[in-house]
Amino acid sequence: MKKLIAISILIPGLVSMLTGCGSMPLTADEFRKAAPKAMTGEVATFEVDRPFQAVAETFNKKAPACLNKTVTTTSSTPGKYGPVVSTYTVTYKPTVLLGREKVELHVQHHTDNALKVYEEPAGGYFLLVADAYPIEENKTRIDMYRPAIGHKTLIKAVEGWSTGKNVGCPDLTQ
Amino acid sequence: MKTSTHIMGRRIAGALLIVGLLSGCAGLRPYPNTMGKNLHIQTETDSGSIFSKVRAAVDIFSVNADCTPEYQGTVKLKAPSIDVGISPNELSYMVFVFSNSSFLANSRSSISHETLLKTRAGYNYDIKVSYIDDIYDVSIEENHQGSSKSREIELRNLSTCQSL
Repeated sequence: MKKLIAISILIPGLVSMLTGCGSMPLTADEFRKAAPKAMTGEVATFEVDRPFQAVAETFNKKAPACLNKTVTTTSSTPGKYGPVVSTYTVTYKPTVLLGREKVELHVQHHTDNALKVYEEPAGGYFLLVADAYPIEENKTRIDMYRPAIGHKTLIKAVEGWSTGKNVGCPDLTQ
Repeated sequence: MKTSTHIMGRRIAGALLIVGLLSGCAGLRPYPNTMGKNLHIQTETDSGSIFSKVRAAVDIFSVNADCTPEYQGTVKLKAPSIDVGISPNELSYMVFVFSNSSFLANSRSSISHETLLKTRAGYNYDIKVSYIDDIYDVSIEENHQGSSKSREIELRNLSTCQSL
């Protein structure tokens, strides 16, 4: 978990360095453009056998319930004078934009007391953006702009919300 | 001597801090669970790793007229199920807590999912709680006693209290 916490904190910096843009995405659209170019980001496109409206409803229901959270993790490592306790507090902010031909899910996160080299948008750095488009009556396409390292639980949850097969919440501490 | 006492003091303080932080149970007390059982809670947990363990519990609060929750106690959710009684026709606030402890990383974390619930007399409530491979879920179904009618209860956070 400590590794994941470190990755979570480092990802914004890594994305920026690897894209060479010298700044962090401040909007979802900037994040969509930056993610494919970054070694720590990727784009996954897949189709689900589910009506667009059903995917939209699941995003709209689950994102606020599951992702509107502040998570504190604590770990300890042996130190010279006893255990060293590290505590990190991360606040997640989901946004769902419902449209007739597109639904967007944005996930941002803010880490308390983390070193901020780059400007942070309101709500925190972008972590994941998922766009859903209707294809056919029973088919929906998902474009997911996401981290390539870590945050597998969040990604798994959003995939589950898309397919409708597992609509639980991600344990954001993992 | 003063230095070693100081170091020892720091070690004890550090150890106490660790125990306090990692136990995650400061101020928790068992829920009395003396009322008629109207909640049937089924629990399934699997961390997905032999190096970590997940425990589930629910903190039960009564809710005052001004929507202030008052802690009543905690029920450890043991698989496969447990029956719990809460006051019917009164608003309760239930916080389901999933605690994950990793032996290798020597770390512990917890995440919670909460809901307001107003049970009705004459009804039972089937609550399914799961935490499998880092994905958790809580669902509530209301069943009328003596009939097959049931309906899913939408989870509501505390901020919606005034509208209930």
